[in-house]
Amino acid sequence: MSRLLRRLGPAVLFVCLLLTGCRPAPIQQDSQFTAMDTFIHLTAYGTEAPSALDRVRDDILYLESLLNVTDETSEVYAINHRQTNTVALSSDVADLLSLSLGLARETQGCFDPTVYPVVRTWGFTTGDYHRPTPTELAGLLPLVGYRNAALAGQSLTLKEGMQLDFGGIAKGWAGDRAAQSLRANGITSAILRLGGNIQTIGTKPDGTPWKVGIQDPEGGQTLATVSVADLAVVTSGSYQRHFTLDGQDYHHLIDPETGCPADSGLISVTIVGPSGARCDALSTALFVMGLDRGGQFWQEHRDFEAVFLSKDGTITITPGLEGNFTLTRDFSSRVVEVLK
Amino acid sequence: MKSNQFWVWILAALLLLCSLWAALLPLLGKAGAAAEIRQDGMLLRTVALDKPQEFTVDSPNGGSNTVCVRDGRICVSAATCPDQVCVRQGWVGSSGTPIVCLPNGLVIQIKGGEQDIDAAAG
Repeated sequence: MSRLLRRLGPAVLFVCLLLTGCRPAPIQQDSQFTAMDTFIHLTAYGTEAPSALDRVRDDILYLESLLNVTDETSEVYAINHRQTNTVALSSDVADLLSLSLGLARETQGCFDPTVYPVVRTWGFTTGDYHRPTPTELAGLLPLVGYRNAALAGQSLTLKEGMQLDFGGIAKGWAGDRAAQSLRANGITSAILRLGGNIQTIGTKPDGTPWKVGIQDPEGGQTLATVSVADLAVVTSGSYQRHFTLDGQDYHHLIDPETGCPADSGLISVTIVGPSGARCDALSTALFVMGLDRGGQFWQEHRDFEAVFLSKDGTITITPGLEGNFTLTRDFSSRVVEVLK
Repeated sequence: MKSNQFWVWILAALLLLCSLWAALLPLLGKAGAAAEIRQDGMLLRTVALDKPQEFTVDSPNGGSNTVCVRDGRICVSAATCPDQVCVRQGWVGSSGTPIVCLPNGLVIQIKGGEQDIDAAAG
């Protein structure tokens, strides 16, 4: 018996040593639900993931209850149907408004959370699509303007008739809060999809970056991919929400200056950066600005990367994406220009 | 002596088989792509993408979406929703890009097969 053990011993030991190389794959947890008028799919890894994702889901639903502009019980609805022009805000809405007004100033109003009277008249939040007449627009445009919103702490004063809508920043902001919450709960690998607003934490469990596809405006194909870690990727495009009336197409990215869909020569703008809220707001702002002004804005800030898809088919990227912007096979013949 | 050697050989053979199994498993285990069809979060059916088919999914609100499968891809060819976002999505052939019809509560996601992207922006 002892002779058997002496012969087998080394072999068994060898097997045991081999098996120490085996490591179980980290547990993947998914959470999928509808909120903020979009389909949300969150993926996180690790033993903390189930409870961490539950907290995130709760926060997103809470934010929706605060911000939904058509929900009669939301805080934003109450602000927009206020009795007096000075209102007390919750700290969360005050934070978001402060962030939004700062971005409005930075983009000279190309992103503006006060453009709602116009957006609502076009029907983009209600589905009741309508093309405002020049007279209607003339009456609505004076109600738009971030400069007429005075925020002091949690006290907001608006001009008569002004209304707020955070549709251009809410998902990005929710993504930032979600990422912060997940990190605080020990999650080091996650990807959050709030519709087309993508937020990532760390890399994939195997250490490789997350591959995010940028959509071809013509259909659901992936035009190109960018590889990211700890960054958000947000696209604003004219194809996302639009309607046709008398043969003319109208999209939802309203130029706050004209009150009409921005006609800047672009079909979409994708922003890549550390903050989902900033990426979200800038994707709208730079769409309104167009390639030239948007490119200039990037040069003045350089704290994000961008992809501009123009109506004429040109693709323009910022230098930080060179080498990280890969056209898919079906689009490999497309021209990609790099901003200086 | 002989019986000891016998057991060592058995162990070695087992080890070899296990190694081969572990090595071949990734190659053998690649299941064909399939699409999961969900209605308001509930899994309705899983559809293999290897043979052409067409079917309609009715939603509790009285709406419907017509789903087509062809050449390993899936699309919504017709729908009763007002904005037709699901129809405009076109053919989808890989996981990472879901087809979503919010008004009708429909979500189509491809599982297995090629995962070329982790998420779709836009």
